[in-house]
Amino acid sequence: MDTISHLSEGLGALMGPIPLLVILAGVCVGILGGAMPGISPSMAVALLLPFTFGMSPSMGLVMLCAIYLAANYGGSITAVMINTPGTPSAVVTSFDGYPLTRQGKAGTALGISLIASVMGGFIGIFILVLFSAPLARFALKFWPAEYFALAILGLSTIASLGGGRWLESFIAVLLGLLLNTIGLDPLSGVSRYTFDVMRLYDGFSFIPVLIGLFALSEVFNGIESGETVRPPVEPDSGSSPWPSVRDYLKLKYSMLRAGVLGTVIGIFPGAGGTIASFIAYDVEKRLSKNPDEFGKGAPAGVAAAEASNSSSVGGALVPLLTLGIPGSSSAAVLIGALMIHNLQPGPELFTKHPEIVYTLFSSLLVANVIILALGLLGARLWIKAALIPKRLLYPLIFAFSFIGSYAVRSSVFDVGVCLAFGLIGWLLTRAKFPVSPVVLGMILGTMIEKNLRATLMMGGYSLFLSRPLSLSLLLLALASVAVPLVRERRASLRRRQ
Amino acid sequence: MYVWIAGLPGVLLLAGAAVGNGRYAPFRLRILICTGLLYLSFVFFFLSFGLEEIEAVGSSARTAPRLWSAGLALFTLDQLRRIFTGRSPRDPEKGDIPRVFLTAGVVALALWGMDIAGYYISTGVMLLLLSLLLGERRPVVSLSLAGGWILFSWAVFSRLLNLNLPEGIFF
Repeated sequence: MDTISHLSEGLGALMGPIPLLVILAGVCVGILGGAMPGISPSMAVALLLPFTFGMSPSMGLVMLCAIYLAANYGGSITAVMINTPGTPSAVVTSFDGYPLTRQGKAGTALGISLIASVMGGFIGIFILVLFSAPLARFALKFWPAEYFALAILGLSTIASLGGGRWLESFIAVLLGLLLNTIGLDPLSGVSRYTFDVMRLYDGFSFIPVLIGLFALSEVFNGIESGETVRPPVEPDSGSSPWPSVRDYLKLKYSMLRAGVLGTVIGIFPGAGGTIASFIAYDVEKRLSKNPDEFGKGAPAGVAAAEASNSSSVGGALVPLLTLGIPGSSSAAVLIGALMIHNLQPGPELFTKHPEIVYTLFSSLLVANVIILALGLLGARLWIKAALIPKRLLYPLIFAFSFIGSYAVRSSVFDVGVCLAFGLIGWLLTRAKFPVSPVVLGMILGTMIEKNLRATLMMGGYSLFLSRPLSLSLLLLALASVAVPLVRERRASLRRRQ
Repeated sequence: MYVWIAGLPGVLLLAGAAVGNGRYAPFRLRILICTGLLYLSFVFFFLSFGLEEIEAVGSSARTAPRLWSAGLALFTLDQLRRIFTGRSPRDPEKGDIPRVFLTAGVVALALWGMDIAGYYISTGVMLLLLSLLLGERRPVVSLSLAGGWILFSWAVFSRLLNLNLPEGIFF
């Protein structure tokens, strides 16, 4: 009952022209950002972060979450219409969405992707609302040992979810953790690796690092691959009829399954919408009576990909809000946003600022309704806006990055940090090292170090093993590290045989 | 600090020269990145001995840097082992790398010029140069992009959000 009353209060707080305009703006920017190939949801959220500086903490978060949710839908529009997924998670949508367009059924594909996105979004938000408050209450009982173990589990999951690139992910995580040690030691105040440079006393500011690694590295990659000189693809007209209510109802179980699966996968740190959509698509294909249709224009394929992708947003927000551990790259950017507004993500957010949390939940519901309305208004409009030539888009991203990096501490040094991390991110991605673990390592570094040392002071290393929850979490972390190792060993043995 | 910073390109040059055009040339970027990471972990580990020791029951400011740098070195060495045993992916095909460095150069120039010319002029010039560099052949479009951004950033960031953007000699 408490949850419902908090939610209705949150909804009440949004029923004014300014909050609704903020959500509308967030959704518009999110759809547009998601639809533009080369702009990922995390990049859209990072680039738009400076717009929230002048807003109240709740409105700032509401806008960023609306961008995050809408960007995940926006990616499907270009995936369906021109076979160019706007976001990595929309790649799966293009498997069946674009074949439908080529069969002259662009309306069917767009309609299904929109409704599945909205349904998935609602499922994710429902699970988020249902589980986050009890989880936060439970987390209040955690000792530093549990927090440390939890953060380690988070990082090990990220690395092990890197698939064939688990070693690169581990290296990236450790690089992030190491870079996070620059600055004043969080417990004793000892200066580390600052070389008496005043600007390094607070360490690297998260936002310039985030923008550099997520936005500028992508831009440098695009420039290197010659994207700026290629002509844009002409979209299909998209004027074919949209599906009927009966068509949508036929897909209700696919959407439900994928929505729940996407939320659960989204909860795991580092998993995000891309992995969720691949797994949900695979599950749907296995359960289908006509698996051969998948890849050739199966409506269930589009529905599963989109529902899981959108629902992963709600899932990713669960660990972020309750434990302070980001579930995805975009959620990592949101942590930066929370910190800028002097809010510490974690269980205490629910006790100290419940109004912000529930306003955020309610805003996600409203944002989902706005996505539905704007999606119905016409995807063609979004595509036209999204096809800005890269030779004009990329300079604008640099300009946005300048502002975003500078505004945090009014420091030109931070803009330089952003550029440097952009180049580092470009080099790392060229060599197939993922960059999001670097960011997550930097974000979780302080939490890990503080809790590790607090535990050592309280009872030494044995405390990690004597507390059952901490031990279980560490064992899980160990298992998630061991799984890819064992899998690789088996594969290598099989190859030899 | 400068010695440690200067050490990185030195180590990378040595590693690059060692790779040469031989057997491991297709893995050059990976090898260079791993070498850079090894150097970084060595520097962090080595410098941790100079950190002030305020011992607090088995933990100090040295604990975390040593743990992370040791872990980084360990995993990076494993990565190198994989490269040398041929179990690592090759570097991707080279694209338009000079354009990337030119772009970064223009951005760095704009950054340097911000203290002299101020945010508006340096960003405007940066946008103009970048759009030309990235292939825009219509001067009107490039000028509109730069002018439009200056107007937009003045109206939104300076007036609406009250952000104090860097000022130069003029404004």
